[in-house]
Amino acid sequence: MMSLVRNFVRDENGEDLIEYGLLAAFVAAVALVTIIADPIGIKGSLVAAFNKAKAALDAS
Amino acid sequence: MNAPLWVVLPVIVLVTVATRADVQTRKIPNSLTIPASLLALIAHGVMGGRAGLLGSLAGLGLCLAAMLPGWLLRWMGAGDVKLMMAVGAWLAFPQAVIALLASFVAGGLISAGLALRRGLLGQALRGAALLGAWTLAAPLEPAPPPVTTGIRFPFALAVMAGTIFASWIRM
Repeated sequence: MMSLVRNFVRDENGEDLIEYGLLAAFVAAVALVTIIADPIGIKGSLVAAFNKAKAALDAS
Repeated sequence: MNAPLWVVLPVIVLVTVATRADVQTRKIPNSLTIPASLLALIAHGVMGGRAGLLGSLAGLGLCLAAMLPGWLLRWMGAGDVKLMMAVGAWLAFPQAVIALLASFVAGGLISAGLALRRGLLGQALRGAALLGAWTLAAPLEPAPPPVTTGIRFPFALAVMAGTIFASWIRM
């Protein structure tokens, strides 16, 4: 686990595989449209979850 | 513009410097991304108090969680992950989520353009579909990852596009 963290910190590589770029873009495009258009209330749920966590922290 | 100027200015400077470094050297230095993340947390803590710090931490954490699998599978560099974390910390939740998703979409457009220029778009799309299928099936049926074109691109370009989009969109 420690070596994984060390590798992560040391790695400064800034390149992505194009196949991963295409796959991630497909998933993200669906998620982005879902959040912006918000047909099933995902944006509201995300914001509500964040506010709940904030309120719990404030109360502690 | 949705984000305040004290957020937009530093984050645009950050992605511009990172993109320049990534295009020239294919690396995004830690000396840029780590201080940028820390500075964002401090700035949000000072400007927004506890709620501001929490929003910034949530942005950073969500970007890390979304991008870490790509690094673990060696499909993405850690420099990109740390840059996205810094952007997430600056834009904070929920704007960080939009920046993250828009960066991925921009990355797909850059990938498609690169593949098209090399006449490998069909192969790259097939490879992307195979990667997706492999990712879904891997927990049930361990198998070596599919062969890819091996073509890579500087993801900071996509982060810059996603950051500009998220800074300007009204939610």
